[in-house]
Amino acid sequence: MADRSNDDWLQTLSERPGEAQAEALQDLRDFLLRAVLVYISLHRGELTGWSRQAIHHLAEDLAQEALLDIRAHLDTFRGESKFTTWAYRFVINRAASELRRQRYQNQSLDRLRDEEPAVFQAVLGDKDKVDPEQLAERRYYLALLREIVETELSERQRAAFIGVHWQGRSMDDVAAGLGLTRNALYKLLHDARKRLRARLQARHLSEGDILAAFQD
Amino acid sequence: MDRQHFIRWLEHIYATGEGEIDCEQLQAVLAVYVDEEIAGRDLGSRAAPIRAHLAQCPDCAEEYEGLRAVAELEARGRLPQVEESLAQFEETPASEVEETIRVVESN
Repeated sequence: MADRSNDDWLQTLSERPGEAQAEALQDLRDFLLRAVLVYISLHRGELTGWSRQAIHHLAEDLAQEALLDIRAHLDTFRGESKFTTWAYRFVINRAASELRRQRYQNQSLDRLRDEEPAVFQAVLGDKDKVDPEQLAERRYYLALLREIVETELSERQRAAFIGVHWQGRSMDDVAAGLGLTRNALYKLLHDARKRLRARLQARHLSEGDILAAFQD
Repeated sequence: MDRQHFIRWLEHIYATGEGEIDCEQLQAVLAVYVDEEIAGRDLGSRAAPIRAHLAQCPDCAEEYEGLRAVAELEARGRLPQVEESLAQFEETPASEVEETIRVVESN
């Protein structure tokens, strides 16, 4: 495999189809395949029951899709990083999205919203071990936070907030459920966080005030 | 959500800034950030918005960790070959492969 500089990669991949370009594409595809297999290996606990052949097939598909992404975005590479690091981002993005899709494929937003009251049970702590006064304080803060989320956020902000922050679902998954891109969801959540922080500060509640109630 | 998760969430609420970068802005600078980090170079004030976003966005943080792991292996000349990575996974028993081929061929 040829050792290429950033300029070599860009020039060879951008030139007219020919032997040099085909060789560069093959080398890049090989790098992407090796990279995505490292990523999948780091998450192999989520792929129990998958055979070696199935993993290989998945990795080949992801590498091929990323190669198409990269060719479509070559003009956005500014040469500030190594070309391969820039390219790996595409295949890792694809792999991460696919693993998240599999992680949440059987969970609907509606069903998870139904389970929302149970989400806070673990936050309260063991009722037999926590001081009753502290337990009451925890209940007060949790009720307050829920009230702010219920009354101050828009329906979409609320659904996004509950899905990502309280239920720990992935951004991609919640974004898909709401018909948004991940970027649009981030902006929605950012506005929701700002509003929540403002409402807490308007009640003169600092981070330390609330956290103190949840320390052992 | 457990208590640790709740505490982190509350910290994120109070850490919310006015001018946070979004996911697209983060993705545009992630490769540079990772390379500079691996090289041990200081990004100075440019690092703060990146770190703030990674703290708030679990999906971008997951992808950053993956990219960092891969880029670091490559920088050390230790990016595993395909066969080395695949060796960590169980091979499909021959009987299952034959069964799959039989099903595919019969359709």
